[in-house]
Order: sequence, then C-alpha cells, then structure tokens
Amino acid sequence: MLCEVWSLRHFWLALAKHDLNERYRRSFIGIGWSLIKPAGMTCILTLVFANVFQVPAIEYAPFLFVGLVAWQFLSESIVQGCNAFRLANTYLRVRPVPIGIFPLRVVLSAGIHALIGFGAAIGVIAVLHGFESLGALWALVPAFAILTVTAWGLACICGIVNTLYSDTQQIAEISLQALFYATPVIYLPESLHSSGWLSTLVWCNPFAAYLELIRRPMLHGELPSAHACMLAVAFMAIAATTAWLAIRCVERRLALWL
Amino acid sequence: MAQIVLGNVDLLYPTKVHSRPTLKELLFSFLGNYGQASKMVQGLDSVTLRIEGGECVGVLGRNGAGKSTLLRAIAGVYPISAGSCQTDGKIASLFDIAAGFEWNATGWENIELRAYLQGETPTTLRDRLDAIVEFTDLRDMLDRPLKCFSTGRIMLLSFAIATCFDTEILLIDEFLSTADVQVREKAIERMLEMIRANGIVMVASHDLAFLRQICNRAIWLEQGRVREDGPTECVIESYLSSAQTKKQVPLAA
Repeated sequence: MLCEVWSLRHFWLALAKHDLNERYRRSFIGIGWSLIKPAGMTCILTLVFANVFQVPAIEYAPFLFVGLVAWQFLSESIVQGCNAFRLANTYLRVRPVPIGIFPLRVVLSAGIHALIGFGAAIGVIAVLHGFESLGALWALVPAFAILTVTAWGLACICGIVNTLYSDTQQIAEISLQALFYATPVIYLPESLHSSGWLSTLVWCNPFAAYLELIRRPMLHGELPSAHACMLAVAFMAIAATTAWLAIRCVERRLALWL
Repeated sequence: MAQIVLGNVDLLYPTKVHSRPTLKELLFSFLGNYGQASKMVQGLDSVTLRIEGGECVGVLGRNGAGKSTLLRAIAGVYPISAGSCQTDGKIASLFDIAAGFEWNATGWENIELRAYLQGETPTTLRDRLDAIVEFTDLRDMLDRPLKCFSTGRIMLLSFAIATCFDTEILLIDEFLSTADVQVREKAIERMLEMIRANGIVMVASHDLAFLRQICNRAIWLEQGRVREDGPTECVIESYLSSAQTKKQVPLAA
C-alpha cells in the first residue's frame, strides 16, 4: 500500500498545495494566519493563565504556544479527515487509487501550518532563552514523524467511519473538546495533584505524551521521558494498524458508497 | 497489445449505498427492524467479453442497463462481485465531466492534478504539456479558474489530458454529447488515431449515429446482461427493432 501511495506522491502533494492556496485565496495575510492565530490565542491565554498558575509569562507563553500548535495539528487532521473521502469523490470516480492518500492530503495541509508554528517557536525560544542542548532538538525529528503517522492513521479511521455514518464528525468534535481538557495544552502537568484522577488521566493520555515529545526538547533541551516515548509509539502503532485494516476492508467498495 | 477480457463478471451493489443508516438507525436497529434492509442490485450479470487492440466498441442499451457500470468495472473503479476482469494496457476514463477536477483551481493546475492522478510525473507532464495545450487550443484561458470554463471546454481539456499520455484503453461514458461539431471531430480523430495504434476505445452512448460513425463493434446490454455482441450495424438494427416492438405491443393490445 505504501508503495502505491509513494507512486502517486506528485498527486497528493499537488492536492495539499491546492488546499493551501484555496484556504487563503484572496486573503491579504495568506498563510501568515497559520502563525497569527496561535500567536493571538497565546497572548490572550497567557494574560489569564500565567496569573492563575503563578508562572512568569515569558516561560508560560512558549509552553502554551507549542502546545496549541501541536493540538491544532492533531485536531485539524482528525476533524478535516472526517470529510477526506467525501471530498475525494471526484477522484475516486476516475480510477482506482490507494485511498490513504486523501487523509494524507489533509494531514499534510495541517502539517505545513504546524511546521510554520514550530519553526517560529524555535526561533522565539532561541531569542528569549537560548537552547541548553542543541542535540536534544534532534529528538524533534522522530517526534514529528510519530505525530504525523498518528494523525494520518486517525484521519483515515475517522474518514472511513464518517463515510459510513455521517454523525462521526460531530462526535469527533465533541470528543476532541473533552480530550482538550484531559491534555495539558493550557495547564502545566506539574500543577496537577499527583494522586488526583486528572493526573492519572493525563498520565495515560497519548495526546499528553505527544506534547511532551515536542515540548521537552524544545523548551528544556531534554529528551522526553521513556514513558512518553512508549505511550506515543504504542498509540501510533494502534492507530496505524487500525487504519491499515480499515482501509484493506473498505478500499475496493468505497467508490460504491460515495 | 491492449486487451480487455471479462469472464462471467457479476457486479452487485447495495441499494442503500446513498442512504447508509445513521447512528440513530444503527442504535435503534437493536430494538427491532428499524429502516429498510439493504438489498443487493445486480449491476452486471455473467458478462463475458474479449476485446482486442484495434477495436472501437460501442456499448448501448436502455437507461439502467448497466453501460456505465460495465465501463467502471473495467476501469477498476467498481469492484466486481464474481468472475474475472483482466485488462492489459494503460487505461484512461472519461466518465463524468466534473470528475478529477477542482473548480477553483486554474486550468494549468487542473492539468497537473489530472495528469498526476493518472500516474504521470512532472517530467512526463512537461513532455506532453504543449501537446495538451495545442489540442485544446485554450492557452489564453488556462490562467483562469475552471469554473469560468464552458462545459464544452472542460470536456475538451479532460479529453486532451486523458488521451495525451500514450493511453491504450480509453473508456468513455456519454461524454461527448455536449460537444460542438469541431470538438467532436477533433475527439473522433484522436480516437481513430488510438485505434490505428492498436488501442481500445469503449464508448457507452445513446447517440446511435455517433456509435455508427466510430465503432466497428457494439455490445447491447439489457438488465446487466449482454443481449447481443457483434458488428455495430447489426447490433443497432436489433436494438432498434426491439425498441420498436416494445412500442407496438401496448398499441396492439
């Protein structure tokens, strides 16, 4: 399946490029919005939560910004992924293609926004604090790869389920809202009571592990914990395997359902 | 050489394809028989065909006879339920004028998208771009979004992309019905070139004059079965006389 996906790389890359052009067509700031949106949110939330958590704004703002960018990537991939196959109807009627390329198109489009955000975050952190260990930044490469494969897997699963049951997107949006509060995007994991239920929830939440995979090297110049790595890799494996099985199951019949 | 071989092909599809149960229906189905059960419709029924390179085959039949389903099954878009379907040769399909295009993208972007969808690369596209533009004669329009194009021009663009990359099997479903005389002549000339080069052209159409003009063989489908397969003129004659008989039966009664 991956060989077929690779052989059509020019097609899905052109689709992702078209999506970005389409999203910012006639916009004055264009793709700059991918930076302005999380930056604006970071400013507003820092004003409030830096006070609530009693941390200096200069430390809290990069923590929050990186978290928001990573969360935005995952949630956009899942929500937009729900419609990946419905939007692909026009192409699936022309010739049989590996259907995994359509969720990949969504993930790539969201990934380009995320890369711009992470690039800006690295620049800002370098100016404000400098990096204690540049070597730890290399840990971001596998972290982005794990995040991308997970997002692709989840987008495939949501896309297939949504093609069968169109209520899926609404359920995904509500679930993501709930998951947002179970993930330390806004709050600091250290601020939770270690014996509380929320702390336990965060401990076994793979989305929290993904945030750690990116925040630790970027903000503290440290490698992520073994627990976060194992949780992230295990969830990625589950998402990728489930997506592969689901695709194998429906690939030939999908054109009939659309 | 291009070849299409179908052996006892059956194609079934569910009637609830376009109205799959919602979550509500699914949940309530545990309480009883909520909603209609999904029935299977026979799209193709024991279709056996062998088409060799150099043949231009017209597919005719009444609405719902299975013409489009047959072409989509050959293209691999629809999965066959039983039998075997083997094709040898590079396939391009023209099933739907909107298929494979993005309306807000420019003509140039759409050429790229459609060519890449057919498995081409930037290198192979670069080699054929001039040929595509020359065939369509739309160079001045290609900077505009596709939604500014007339239906005939979109069709012409689609036809040019489908046939400019050494296509060996061309599958066309009622595609040229909206074309003007010039476009039609251009398309016919291109199809004849393909046939001379030992390619295969399959055209599903209700336009019998058009089928007479280009096809050397015709297949008459009825309720998903091959009713008659032979020289175009003979098959069209049988088809027309059958339609005539059906018209006369109620009058006689």
